[in-house]
Amino acid sequence: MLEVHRCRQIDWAPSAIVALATSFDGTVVAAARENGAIEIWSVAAGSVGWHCQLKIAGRKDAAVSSLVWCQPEAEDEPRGRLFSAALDGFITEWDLRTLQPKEVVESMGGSVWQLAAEHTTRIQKKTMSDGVLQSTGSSKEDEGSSDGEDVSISGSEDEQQTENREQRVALACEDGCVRIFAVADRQLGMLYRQSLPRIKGRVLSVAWTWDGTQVLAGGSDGCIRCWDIASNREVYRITAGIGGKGSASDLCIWDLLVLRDGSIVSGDSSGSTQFWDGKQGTLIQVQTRHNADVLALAASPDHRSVFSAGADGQVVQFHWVEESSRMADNPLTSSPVDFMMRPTGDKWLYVGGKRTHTHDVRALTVAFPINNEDLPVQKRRKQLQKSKLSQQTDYRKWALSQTAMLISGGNDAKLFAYPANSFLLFYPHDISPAPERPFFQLAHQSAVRSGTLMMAQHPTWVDVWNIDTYEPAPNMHHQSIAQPLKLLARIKCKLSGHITCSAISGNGCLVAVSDCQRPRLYQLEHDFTNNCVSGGKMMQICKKKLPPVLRATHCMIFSADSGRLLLAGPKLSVSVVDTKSLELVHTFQVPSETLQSKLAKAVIMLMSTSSDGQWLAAATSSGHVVVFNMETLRYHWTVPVFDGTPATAAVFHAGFSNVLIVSSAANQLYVLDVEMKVPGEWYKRYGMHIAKQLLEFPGGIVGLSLPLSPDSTSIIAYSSSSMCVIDFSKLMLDEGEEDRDRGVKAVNSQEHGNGTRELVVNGNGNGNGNGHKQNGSDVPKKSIGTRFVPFKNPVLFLGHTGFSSVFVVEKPWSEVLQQFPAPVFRHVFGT
Amino acid sequence: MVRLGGASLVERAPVFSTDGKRLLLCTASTISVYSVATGLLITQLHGHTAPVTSAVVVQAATVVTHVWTSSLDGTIRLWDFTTGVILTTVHVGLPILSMVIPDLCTLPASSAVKSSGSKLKNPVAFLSVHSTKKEQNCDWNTRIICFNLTSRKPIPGHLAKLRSPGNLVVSPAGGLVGLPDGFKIWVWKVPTGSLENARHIQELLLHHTAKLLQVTFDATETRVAGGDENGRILIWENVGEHKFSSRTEKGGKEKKSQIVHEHPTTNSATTTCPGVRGSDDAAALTKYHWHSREVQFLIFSSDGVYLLSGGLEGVLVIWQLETGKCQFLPRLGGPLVSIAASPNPSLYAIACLDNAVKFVNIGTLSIERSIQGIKPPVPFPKNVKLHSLRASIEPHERKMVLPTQNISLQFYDTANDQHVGELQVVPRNYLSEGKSKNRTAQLPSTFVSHVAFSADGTSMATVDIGIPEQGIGGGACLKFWDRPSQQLQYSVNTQVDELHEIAALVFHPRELLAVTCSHSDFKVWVPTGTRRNNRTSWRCRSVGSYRQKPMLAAGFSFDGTILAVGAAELITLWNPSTNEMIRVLASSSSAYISLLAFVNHSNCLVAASSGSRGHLTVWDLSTLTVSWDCSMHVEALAVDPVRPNFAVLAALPYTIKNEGWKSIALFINKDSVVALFGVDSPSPTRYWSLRDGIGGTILFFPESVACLALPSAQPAPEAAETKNDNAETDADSTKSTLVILTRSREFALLNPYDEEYEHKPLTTKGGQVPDTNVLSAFSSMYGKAVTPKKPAAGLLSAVTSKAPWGSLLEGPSHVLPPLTRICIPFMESLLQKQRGQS
Repeated sequence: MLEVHRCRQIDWAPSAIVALATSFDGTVVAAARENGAIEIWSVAAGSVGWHCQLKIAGRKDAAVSSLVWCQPEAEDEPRGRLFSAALDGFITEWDLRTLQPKEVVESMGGSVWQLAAEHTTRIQKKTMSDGVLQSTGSSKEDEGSSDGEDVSISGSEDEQQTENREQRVALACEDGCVRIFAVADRQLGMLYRQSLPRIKGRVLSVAWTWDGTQVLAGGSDGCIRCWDIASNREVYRITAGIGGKGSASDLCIWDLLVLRDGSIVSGDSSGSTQFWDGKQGTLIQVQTRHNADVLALAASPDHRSVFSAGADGQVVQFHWVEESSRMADNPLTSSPVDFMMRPTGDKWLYVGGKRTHTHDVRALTVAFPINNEDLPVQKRRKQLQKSKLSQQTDYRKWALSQTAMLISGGNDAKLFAYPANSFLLFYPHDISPAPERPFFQLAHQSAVRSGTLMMAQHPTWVDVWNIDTYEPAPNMHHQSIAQPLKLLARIKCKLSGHITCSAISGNGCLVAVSDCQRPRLYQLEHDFTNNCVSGGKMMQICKKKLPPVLRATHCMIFSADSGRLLLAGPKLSVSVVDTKSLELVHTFQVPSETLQSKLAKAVIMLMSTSSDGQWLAAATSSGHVVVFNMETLRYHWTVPVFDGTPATAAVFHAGFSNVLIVSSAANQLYVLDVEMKVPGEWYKRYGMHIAKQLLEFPGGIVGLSLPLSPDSTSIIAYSSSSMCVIDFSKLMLDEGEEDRDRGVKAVNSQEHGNGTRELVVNGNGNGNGNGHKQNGSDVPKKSIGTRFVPFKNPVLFLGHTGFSSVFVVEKPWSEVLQQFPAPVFRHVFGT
Repeated sequence: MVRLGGASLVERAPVFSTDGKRLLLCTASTISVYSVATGLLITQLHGHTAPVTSAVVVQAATVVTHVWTSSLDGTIRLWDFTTGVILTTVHVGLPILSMVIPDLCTLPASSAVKSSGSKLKNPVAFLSVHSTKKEQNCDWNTRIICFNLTSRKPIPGHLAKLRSPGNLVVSPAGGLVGLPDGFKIWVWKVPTGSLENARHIQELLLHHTAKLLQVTFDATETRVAGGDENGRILIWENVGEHKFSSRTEKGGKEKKSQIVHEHPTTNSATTTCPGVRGSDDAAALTKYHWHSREVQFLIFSSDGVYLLSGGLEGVLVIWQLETGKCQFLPRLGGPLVSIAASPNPSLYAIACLDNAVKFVNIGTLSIERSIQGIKPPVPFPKNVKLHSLRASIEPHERKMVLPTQNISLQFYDTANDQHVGELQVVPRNYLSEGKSKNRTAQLPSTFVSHVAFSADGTSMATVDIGIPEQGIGGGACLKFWDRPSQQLQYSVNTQVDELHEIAALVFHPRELLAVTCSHSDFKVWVPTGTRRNNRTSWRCRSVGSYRQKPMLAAGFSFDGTILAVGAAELITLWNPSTNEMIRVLASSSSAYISLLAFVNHSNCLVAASSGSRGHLTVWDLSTLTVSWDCSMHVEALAVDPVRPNFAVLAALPYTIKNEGWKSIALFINKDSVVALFGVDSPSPTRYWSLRDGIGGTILFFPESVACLALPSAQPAPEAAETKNDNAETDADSTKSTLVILTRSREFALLNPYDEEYEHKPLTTKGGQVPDTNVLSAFSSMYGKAVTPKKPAAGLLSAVTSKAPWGSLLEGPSHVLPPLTRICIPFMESLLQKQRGQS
């Protein structure tokens, strides 16, 4: 019997996606949020395997408007260089190894509305030896769509001689100028090169032609101008308001797209998507399929489909359809009498749209995940297995092979992925069902208060709550929303940067917080002076001084006995600070001889310590797990990459402290014996068995939770939409039919039976369609040890508060949606 | 003579003639030819013995008035629809559900006369036939076959077997034939050469996830549009690119080189077809969704830029396919069911479910003209048990008045089978029905239950009943209407809201006095002023009741001195002027009396009750005894205005005691009988069996208003004209006209004393040729002069069609020759006519 306490008190305000950009090699997509946070998502061809590689914390008053990846300066960074432009007029280059800004350049023209990088030849194509990328390049040519990313990858073969030319970036500036900057080699940031003549109003969108000689700029005056870069002169001007709905004067051109055949696509504030001839600037076609502004455009790799997204929440596909060859055959239609009746054969055809977002869609990008060494063959075989299991229109079907993916993000903070080639046939995949999930940590043996403490990390503050694990009365349901939590302390971060990481010690006395500059340590004490006055905050916060050597960190943890604070630093170093003496005790380093090229560039994403204080496991963004021995203060082992995806959670077993359980982004569980440096005994026997079942798990595993008792054999893995209870001991038993479902069934029935009003939210309904259907009784007969329990609301955190009691932090998505600005009103038929 | 009328105009899609001047409608087993310019009936083609299912007009430069028709009687006929002559009859032997002839779709080019001749020699019809063979283990009942119309032989093999029949559709150029069938659409390519076996026809299938109901092609035959039951519209592009291409090799190579030129990196073999399911042969599929319920018709405009769609919402939607913009033509009056394109690219004929065909101009988005048939009946809610009136006759203009949908009254000229006017009793817009498939849940909440006219026709009273919703609301509304002028325009004089439903409404035969029966009493209504011209209101003069019994029927004696009111199973007789009760008549039957009528020129009173214990009782008022009675389920009762006879519409299945009725029961599938009784004998003097009679009614045309000596009525000069006009037809006072109206609102007009039809049982769907209206020389001379004063367009047409100057003045005014040229022949025609008749 599992007790579930649920809590909805925690604030959760994810912020909107404002920009998306596909990296130079197409393997990752950078997503910028309204609060300035930038997430690097790795692209997977399908639904499983999408994971957030890196997170750059936001800062106050950040207003990112555009992201762009430029060509890499060195070959060891195939993703390219990430630049972001903001409305405060600065262009920032980001260092993805330290997650810090590398260089900040001023635009000299006020706010930057859009960045556009010149299409360059791919340097790797020539310089790459017979490596993996070469072979993928050939396989891509078989696909017939070699290199057609949105803005970053070029296809013009005849410009190979200029391979070392500096890449230029065009900026759409507030003051009406288009400025050209260059991304120089071996230099940080950008260099100013050129400024095009100023126009009245502001420039909102820019795009390069494929040969790099012209720049197109769309402004708030409703005109699209074509500038010749060499002569600095206007080639032609398009008045876009003629074809669309709106009047020309107040029309805004929000986005521009240049296709490989030279034609131009524009999206404007009247809701029209217009297609123009690139040579003369004449109108080819107008498609008014949006009810509100068209904000983003993207083209499929073969440039036969164009996607547009707008403020009405729709993503719409247009397809290039050529004239039927039967038109020429038909003697009836080719007769001179009927000649006038023939519609023009070749045209951009509206195919259909999807309304997956509830709010404005603000960014679109197309990524083409290439098959590099990160994705071994085994992974693909698993994907094949998945596709066989899935249903007809399940999103997993397009996970088969090299599928170009369309990614959309918008004001509802969600990211959706679609297959670009069969956009209409499959349901979109919700990549991040719980975007910007706050970080939670439990402190069980609280020394300051009875009960368990929970720390919640928000962008600018950290809360410490008290969880009262009350004993349920005999006549009440075992599972209910827990009593209102008591807020014990709130630590606010007053600097401009947002909190990157935080940690609470096991005894609940110490809280460590770090922003983008340096970490801080606080001690919580009882405040007996105003005990009864302020009902909630009964803790006093004392700041403690950490050694000034410590720099910003992106992962922190306390050791099990709260005596040590471990901070992950750059280059896989981990600093150990004694919390009593506040001195730097030791700095772990991974020996350089074990550093592979991949691992050297990685960043520690999460850490875990064993309960006996011996082991420290640090999972990196490259997928490795590094194990240190805390007793001997030595590097111990680097666990090789499991399945190409990084770990999403790692816990040490409470009883057997050398057993490490790791979940990966590919929804797999691994059990390791850290001391022996081998996979765990259990995993050797039942690993494949569990792996198959976890493939059906809805949503990606975001966390693991173990019961507190040292002799427990079960573990709970949870995603934001469901949880899975895995019992090792029952797995050991063979197919014994026992009361295996009883506990979970009770949870299920009571979850539906409790009296609270619950809204079924559709926001995350796409990703977990299987989970809702899958009740305890539907679990296949052979899975004795694993059970799936779906959640109705997005779950942010799940943790054990006892042997058989679980604390769940959830929030209905409809409540989250109310925090967003209202979308464009849409009349729904029948209301 | 029997005159039939009132058939549905909208069962099948209308068809335009080649020149676009005429519109052909399949009306039951006839084809009606209407003039597009005037909207009037030109001629009817009689010959088929079962309902006509489709008509295909021959598109040819030389023969412009030929039409092929198919019918459920298993024949295909070729007609000349100007003369009404059958040119050819082809026997297929199986009931034909749908027919298209692709070879006749196009006007052959004038240069290639020879090829057109060869084409016309060998037209092949695509037929959807109902299979009569009852085979084991077969779940289909319809086959699509090809039929050679010249050799009159079916082509061996079939194209498809279907479970549910759909309508065959041919592309405008005649190159493709399509058929919606469940979740898929069949598309066949019409072979250009001669055809030996149907298996040689190339076919392809297009799939969808919902049931498809409609399919249409654009002029280029590369685009196919389909409509499904959920209201979605699907448009496939470049259909048949691979399968139907005649030059696969050559064309494919050409295309490939083009593609390579345009997109150097793409390969045509791997191009995706967004939206298209499976391996359907189409380049892309676009879906549109506006209609909330099934799409009823789809058609491309002739230039392929627009798509027209319509459905049960009653809104014509015009899709501009290139840009995605929509235009709407709302308020078309009722659910739309089918459409036909005329040779004029802006003119379309749209059939509405309220039995109207509307000519819609797409350019101006206006309705230019409409052909209105008799409107379909209102579905009557089952929880209302009262006996409501189904039709009435306006005594002044002698038009039939029918309550129709949308709480209005339709005035219908039965003599000319023509719609005269409509009166909205309660102002209300047409609302499309909800999404639920349950029809009973969608019944209107308010409807007209009774209409009555004063004897001079100057006043009308209506009752509209509201159905209580969940026990709230409801009740009846009694309205008195004035007709200030001689036209059929009424204005509300008095409106009375009653708590209870009104079960009967009668007018005094001589005076302005009305009686309503409800719940447990009856009320007598009189106008407050005596002068008709004064705008006086009506008031309740007196109320009468008898033992709180429910009063369901009322009737006046022909001189108006006695008012009979049925009180439950009793009949109470009252003096309407003094409001005192004279007598109570009690009979042995316990059924509530629902119909009461005094028989003219006799002392008899007929009381009838419906239901399983229905009873018909004839009282002799001189002796106050029952003259005779018999047990039958009486649906409607009508008394002859001139003879001591009455007619009864009775349902058949109930046991008939009388011996003389046994023969009638032999007519199977006819559910009712119309019997004409004398007051003396319980055996009917004449009877006609009737199909679809339950829910219908019978009416006798009353005597003309001018024949009545009404003291208050001042004969207007127009009335005097009417008297002259009607003097011919009603000269024989023994001649009376009986109208039999069925539930499906087909009607028959007959003289019940005409000996000629004594032995011929009436079938309303029979193929009798109606006699034309005989008019005197006087009226034909002066008919044109009189008609402007007449409101009815029907008389006008009767006069013009029978005009002695023939077709001299037919056609729109701009094509007429100048007046100076037609004056002399016009005058001559009149003179000749007079000479001949004198």
